[in-house]
Order: sequence, then C-alpha cells, then structure tokens
Amino acid sequence: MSIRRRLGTTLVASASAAVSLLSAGQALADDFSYNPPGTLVSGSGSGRFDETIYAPGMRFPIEEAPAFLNSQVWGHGGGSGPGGSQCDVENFSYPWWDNYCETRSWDMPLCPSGQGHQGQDIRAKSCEKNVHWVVAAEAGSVTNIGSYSVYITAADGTRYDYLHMGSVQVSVGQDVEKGQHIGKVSNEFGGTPTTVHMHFNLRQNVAGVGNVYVPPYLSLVTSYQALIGPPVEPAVGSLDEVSCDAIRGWTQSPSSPEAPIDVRLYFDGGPDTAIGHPFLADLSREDLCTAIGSCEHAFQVPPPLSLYDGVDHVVHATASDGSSNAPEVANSPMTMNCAFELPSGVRRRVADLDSANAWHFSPFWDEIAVSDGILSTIDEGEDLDRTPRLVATSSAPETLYLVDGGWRRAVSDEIVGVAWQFHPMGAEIISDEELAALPAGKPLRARPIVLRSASGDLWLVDDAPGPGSTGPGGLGGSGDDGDGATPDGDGDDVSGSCDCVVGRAPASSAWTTVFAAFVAAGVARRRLARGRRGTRP
Amino acid sequence: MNRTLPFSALWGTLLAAAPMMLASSACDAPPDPRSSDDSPGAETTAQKQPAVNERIGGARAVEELHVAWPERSKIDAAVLSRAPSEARDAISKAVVPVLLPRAGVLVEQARVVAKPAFVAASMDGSAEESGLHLSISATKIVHRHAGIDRVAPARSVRAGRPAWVLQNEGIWSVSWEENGVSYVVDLECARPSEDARCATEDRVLAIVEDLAFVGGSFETRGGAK
Ligand SMILES: [Zn+2]
Repeated sequence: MSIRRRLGTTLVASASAAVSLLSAGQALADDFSYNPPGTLVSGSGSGRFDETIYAPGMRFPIEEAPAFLNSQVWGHGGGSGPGGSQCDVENFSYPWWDNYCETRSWDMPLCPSGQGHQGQDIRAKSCEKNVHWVVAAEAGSVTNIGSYSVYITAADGTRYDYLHMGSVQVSVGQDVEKGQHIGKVSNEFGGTPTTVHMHFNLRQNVAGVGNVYVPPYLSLVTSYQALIGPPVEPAVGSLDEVSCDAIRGWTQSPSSPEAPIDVRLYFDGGPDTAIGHPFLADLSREDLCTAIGSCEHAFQVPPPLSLYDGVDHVVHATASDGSSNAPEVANSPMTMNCAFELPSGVRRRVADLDSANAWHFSPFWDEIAVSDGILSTIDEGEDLDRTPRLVATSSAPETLYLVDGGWRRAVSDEIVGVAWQFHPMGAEIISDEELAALPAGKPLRARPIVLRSASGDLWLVDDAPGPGSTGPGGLGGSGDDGDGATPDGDGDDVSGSCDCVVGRAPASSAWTTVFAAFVAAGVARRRLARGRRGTRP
Repeated sequence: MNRTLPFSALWGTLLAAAPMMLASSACDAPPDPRSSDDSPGAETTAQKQPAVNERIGGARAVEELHVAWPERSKIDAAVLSRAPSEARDAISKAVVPVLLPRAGVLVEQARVVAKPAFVAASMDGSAEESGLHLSISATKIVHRHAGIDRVAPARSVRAGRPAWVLQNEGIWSVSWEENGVSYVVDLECARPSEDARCATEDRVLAIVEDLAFVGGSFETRGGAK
C-alpha cells in the first residue's frame, strides 16, 4: 500500500492528464472489494479455497470496469435467488463472489464435493446485452466456436472459455492478441436465453488430476486489480548468460523487492507464440545483494538438451510477478547455439515412458535424439531403476542422495538438484545409520543427459557404478563425503584415452565447465527454510 | 456473514507474494490487510490458509509430456482423406497424435489448429446430426501446481483409460490420457435445452469411443519451435 502512494505521487508529479486518470482509477480501486476465494453465497454450495493464480498475468476479460463477479443462479433474477430482476443494483455492486464450485449436478474434480460450477460468472457494467466488450484474457488461437461458446487456447495449452457472448468477432484458427475484442457480453444459450453475463473458464491439463477446469477467481481478481488500479512499476531483471553451460539471470519486483518472483523462458518465440517455462527465481547470488538490495532472486537452469542441434535458438526471458505486465528482462533475447557432444560414461536403459516420467526426464530439457550408430559407441551399463529413490536424513534434510544400485550418490548442490528436479520435499527420510550403511558412490552428474534412439528407447548417460571420490564406506564425522568436489563424475571411465568416437567429449567435458560456471557465478544455496513444508511421500 | 477483502488488501498481499499464488510463508508474510482503513474487519485469505501452495525454486511448473506415437500404419486413411486439405496440412504438423471421429460429424469441414503445445479440431455434426458441434483438442503440456491433491477419475473410456466426464454450461466434456498426452472432447448442442443428444452423456461418450487416429508430425524431439 505504501507502494501505491509512492507510485501515485510519481504520477501526479509527472503529468496532469495522469492525475485525472489516476483519480478515476483510484475511485474504482477504493470501492472494489471481494470475498475470499472459495467463499460462495450462503446455501449455494462449498467453494474451493485455492490461492493459486492459474493464469498469472492475464488481462481481465471485460474491456471496461466496473464488472461484477457473482452468481447468476443465486443472485437477483436467478432461479435460486432472492427474486427481483437480473438488473437489480445489488447484482452490479461489490463485493465480488466466487462461484466456482457453486452447486451443480455434474462432476468437477477440484471441487470439495466433487461436483459444481466449472467457472466464474461475470456481469459487465450494466445488464444491457451486446454492449460491453469481452476481450481476450490471453493471447492465443481461437480453437472452437460453438453456438454459445468461444475457446481460445494460449501457447502453453491453457484454454480460456468465453460463453454466452453475442457479436462474436473472431473465427476458428485466428490468432488473437491479449486484450483483443472477441465478442460482447450477452445472454446466448442456444435459443433459451440465460441472464446477461459472461461465463469464464480456465482449463488446464493439471499434473495428478487431468485436463480439468481450474479455479479462475483469483486470476480474475488480480487482472481486475491491474485494470482499475494505479500503474504498477513493472518487474525487472536480467538475462545474464545464455550459453551451452547455463541460462542464468535474475528477476525482481520493485514493488516487493524481497520476494522472489518468476522468470519465464521462451525458446524460438516470444510470449504470444512460444511455450513459457516458468521458474521461481529464488537462488541466492552474492552480487545481487548489493546490486539490487536483495540476494535471493537468481535463476539458473541448464539449457534444453533438445536444442543442442548446432543451430541458433533465440531465448526470451520475462519477469513475471503475477501482474498483467510481464516485461522482457534486460539483455533478452539472447541466442544459444550448441552442438551436442556425447559425454563419456555408460548408457543405462530407461524402462519405459512411465519410468521416464517418474524420473522427471523431460523431452525438451533432458533428452536428445541420437542415431543408433552413436548409441552403439557407448557401453551399456546397468538398467536404471524404474523410479528414483531420493533420501536424506533428519539431521541434514537438505543434503540429498540418490540410492542407485546400492550406492548412495550425492546430489552435490541445489543447482544439480534443479537440473534433476530433485528437491528435499521429495526425499525419503532415513536414519543416519541407514545412510551410513550405503557405500558412497559417484556423485550425480550435473544434469541428466538422456539419449533417445531412433526406435524411441531412452538411455541415461551416466557413470558406471562404483565408489565415489572418497570410496565406499562410512559417512565420516561430517556426514558429507565430499559431495560437490567432483559433481560431474566425468573422467573416471575414460582414463584420459581418446576412443576416437566422433563427437565424444574429452574427459574434461562440458559438464565440468558447467560446475565451474556455477561456482564462478557465486550461486549459493537458498535459505534452507524454504520448501520444507508438505508431507513426504 | 462473509467478510470481504478491499482492493487494497489484495494489492498488498499480491505485491508481497510469489507469483502465481497468494500463499504466504513465514519468510514472506504479506502486509496484514486488516490494517486497511477501508475495511477494518476484513480478513486475509493468506492467513486462513496453510502455506501448501508454496512454489519450489527451480521446479518446472510447465512440463512437456512424452508423446507415444502410434505406428504410422495405424492411421485411418479413410477418415483422414475426408478432411479438407488445410486440415490435413495442419494434422501433418501436429505435435501430438490427432484423433477424429469416424462418423456423425462433417470431417469434410474440420478446422484444425496446430501449435507447439497443442492441436485442436472443431467441426459440426453431419446432416443426420445437425445441431451438434464438436471440439477435439490434445496437448502435450502438463501444468504442475503445488497444493493440488492427486485425484483420479472413476470413469473410463477407450479401453479402460481413466476419464473425466464433465459439463460446461450444457456442453459435455470428456478428457482422458492417451498416447502419452491429454485429450479433450466437447460436444455442444445448438439448442441444448431441447436436444436429447445433450440431455445425457451417451452421445459424447459414443463419439469418444469412435475416434480414429489420423496422423500427426511424429515429432518426438521436444522443443518449442
Ligand atoms: Zn456460469
């Protein structure tokens, strides 16, 4: 709130025109109130308390404020409402009401009762139909137009549904920009009119659930706030490096400089056309402490292995704090051009795609297609377990080990954990004695490298099983057997000799360089308190 | 009686929260909205909720799935040949296997949109099925959200694949996983309140069972191009 005052002062000082705009917006902002997510009109069912913004940065889908989120069925003019007309002033007043999961007879996987209303009903400024513009909440492609429905699917596969519109302005196959007119708020419902409103859904393929309607309420609240509120100082950041070793940089919200925010990475396209890959940028980087006054804002990921094809790939990065404005960061875009060099080691069979998913091997980030000829040049090692077993002890819960073929293999640091998508929250806690009983194997490599054969088989390039740098045995007094000293584990099997396979990396491979880059970047562990919530599997 | 959150309350919460969620953590506690002068009784949702939604640094919130392409020989050439050339062209670029119904719809008028993350087709019912409108989409993207409990559908389609059978303002919607990716079929009636085909789930389920594989790019390499 102090931010609002500060920004307001800046605006007033800068332009008199802005003052009147600000005043109007401020009036709307001051009037606006909303019930918490999941709070439904009394008697209309059980809502879902959910604080996730499923469509961060979207634009509010009605062009002009004010607009009103509330129930059509339990409001004036609705079948279960208090009577009166749908034009009753109470329908066009704050506070807003969530009506996702409102009582319905059909299944809704994310509703507490398992059934409910699949989206949010929105009234425009007035109850007139075909007057108020509906605009695209997000850029995307028009993928369906029915008699009373329009679906627009964004680059990341999120579907935005707009129902009951009149004067539809778009056609199937058309690409639309965020904010573009797509129709007008109306009461179309296939010949039997409904109340004048726009029904809005968000649909996503959600891990662990399936392709379902997700709660839109907070996405609407935040986008409305962006529509009516004072201008917000946009998030900032920098793309510091795009190389064959790492993609790294930082992001920060000037409005909340201590809180880490997302970076979104896009490859070979911008936010409107390419899939956005969001990462919470919360790594601690020493240079940021003084440069931007707060340390934990860095991100660092290994570049997508699937793009190691020797041609240019343009990498865009935006700083996303959940507001409607997710600007591109400084130095973005940058270009990566990486050729794949087969690292030394053995290839270990990944049982099947279910196993690959269990290991979080990503076709985009971790896998690369190779010819059978290349594949045959690398010795076959032990099959990979179907699922990874990640362990830690209660005395050192952040120190992770992969149990692999009876060896414990250190996850050398958080950067390696990010590359493998291993996190303390997913670790099984075992006793110090149990851990000590496991011989120390080679530390996990800096990132997974998964080869895909022409027939679709997947192989992890890894070290042959064997003792780590300190040899098998006890943990020693520290409980840390030198993990991090040789995080890539490379070189052990090549013994300095060149086997003259085309494209094979020398013993001093890129992965050693990766680790060196991490060290040089001064990236350190985040505070350990983060991410310790939740239950272990 | 419900208490409400003033605009300024959320604003403060948002600015202090990590993106994509409003959950607070002990380290990142948002300003207390109850201190807001325009709603002294307001309560903050952040305080009501356990902080189960906290994002994990470095975790991939958007992930690509492994596409399991059917054999090329499994393409239903008869159905594919009915599609207009523009649609066939889009199908050949699809990043996921495309399924279309064998009967009941005007595949001849299918409009197909192929993008890096998804493919979507839409078409009207055939002459005998006029008044129906069908949308079929598939995506290889999965969104990972913290705080979502795993829940499995009780229903199944297409040889036992677990499926959600939902409704969207009278539009029947079935979703399931096949070929490693996620499919959604939506069946909309032009006049839902009068049309027996949208009175029950039977018709949409019949269409889902009737879907044939008609091709795709057979691309297995990940990447947004
Ligand atoms: Zn509705």
